[in-house]
Amino acid sequence: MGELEQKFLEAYNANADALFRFCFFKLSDRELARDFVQETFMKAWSNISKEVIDKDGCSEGYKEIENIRAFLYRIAGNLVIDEYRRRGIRKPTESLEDLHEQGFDPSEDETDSWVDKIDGQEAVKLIAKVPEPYGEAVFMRYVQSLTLEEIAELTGESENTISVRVHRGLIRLRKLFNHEHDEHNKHRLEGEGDTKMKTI
Amino acid sequence: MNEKNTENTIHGAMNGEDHGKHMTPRVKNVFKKANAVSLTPEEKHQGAQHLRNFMGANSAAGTKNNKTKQSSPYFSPLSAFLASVSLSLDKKVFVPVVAVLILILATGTTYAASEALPGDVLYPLKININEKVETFLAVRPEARAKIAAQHAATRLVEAEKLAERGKLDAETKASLEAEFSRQAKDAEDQTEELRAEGNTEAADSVSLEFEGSLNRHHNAIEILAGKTEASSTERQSLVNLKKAVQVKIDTYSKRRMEIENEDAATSNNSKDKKRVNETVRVLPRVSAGEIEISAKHDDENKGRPEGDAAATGSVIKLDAKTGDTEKAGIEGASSDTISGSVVVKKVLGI
Repeated sequence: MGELEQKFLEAYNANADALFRFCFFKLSDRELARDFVQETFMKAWSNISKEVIDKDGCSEGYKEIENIRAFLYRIAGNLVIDEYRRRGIRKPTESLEDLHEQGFDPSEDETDSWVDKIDGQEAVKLIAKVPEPYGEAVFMRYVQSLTLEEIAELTGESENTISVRVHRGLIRLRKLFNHEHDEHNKHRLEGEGDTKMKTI
Repeated sequence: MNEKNTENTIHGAMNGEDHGKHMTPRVKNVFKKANAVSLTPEEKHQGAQHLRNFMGANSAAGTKNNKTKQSSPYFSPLSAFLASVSLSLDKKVFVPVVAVLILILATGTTYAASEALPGDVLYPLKININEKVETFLAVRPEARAKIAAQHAATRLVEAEKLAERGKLDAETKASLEAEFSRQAKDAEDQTEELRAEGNTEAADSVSLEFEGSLNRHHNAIEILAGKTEASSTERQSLVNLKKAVQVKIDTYSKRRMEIENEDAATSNNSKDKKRVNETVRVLPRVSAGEIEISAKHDDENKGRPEGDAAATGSVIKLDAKTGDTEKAGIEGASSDTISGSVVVKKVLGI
């Protein structure tokens, strides 16, 4: 196996999980997210390994991808956008009710253990409920642990903009908790467990 | 992207970016949980495998630069020979000659493949054809269990050989470890099936042998990890691999204890008691497994290209390095014996 292949496999090992999480955040579908990760890497490889052929006659080596992570995120992001277009929706939405049915039961009390009851996938879906572009900013910053600088590079926005988005995203996420809590309580008080809940 | 990492980022953000007010424990907890979403090791392994195949099919090699080279010694002389034959013969003769050649080569290739290591061109052949055929041919449950155990042990031998040559990278280690765990589990299942069928003697013999073999590999890996020339990543890989082996050893020894206790508790029947006694007596089977594996290595070495013989030789030497001279003595004597347990019985005078 060549040096380039080896390096690329290392990049796979280092980034596959984060990209999978990103795709899951965008698609809320585990299997689809898996396929997207695979396709991202295949596209990336086609791109990287093709560079050499483009040089006419004499090779100058492969194109150096300076930041493979950013490169991969960009490909994955584009694939997701294509998928949204194909489906004709911006984002697959899951009603809050679905989450409640899955035992999702937020409440205001900080010591309450509802957070302990949701699993990682539900946590991701919860963050995905924060409207764009704030949800993504929060997700990239705190779940993917990217720096503001890195997110800025990915999105092409300034660091300042990203910082503001992260800030607003956090506020909205908190509001979301309270909102869900209020909605939930209201239903409990009214005893209307099966009426349609208002989505945000 | 582990928990600690998230934690650090969150704290850093709290200080530097002034989001502290909104970063309640609950919010933090959600981030932490979200961060745990990932591919399972199997999915990741499959993905890497898939990617490898894809890269093979869309290789960067074959372009003008010769950056990538085939790592296997088997491939190039073979194709060069074929090419020369095709040039020197006309079409009429060419077809039958090639047919015969292919037949010969196929046999030779499968044989050569049995010695291939991860990264070699023939390695997929070994995994997907040779071993699958062996599994397929093993009809009796006892044979199936043995084959599964043998394949699991082969994964460890491969890892050891690669480590010896300083070629065990994290990726290969992960896939070997996954395969090892899978096949060891398979062996476990087959053994339990054997036991369920009432063939406890065969089940005991297979599991004891496997446990011994695992112990031997555990030691070998430990020694390799302790080698000074190993790089830190390689050492880490080996330490992880050792842990995986340890897990299996624990499973087996725990199961063995259970069975021994069960037998001891339930049987008043003298025949059963005898079996328990035998099991207990033959317990230092660590050496039984070692002997058998070593004997196998010896046999394999006879018909093997020199390079590999040297590699396996060193694996065997590892046992000698532990300073257990008695073991080394037994090994010498056992090269021609088929079953390790027979030897142990001979040596122990059972």
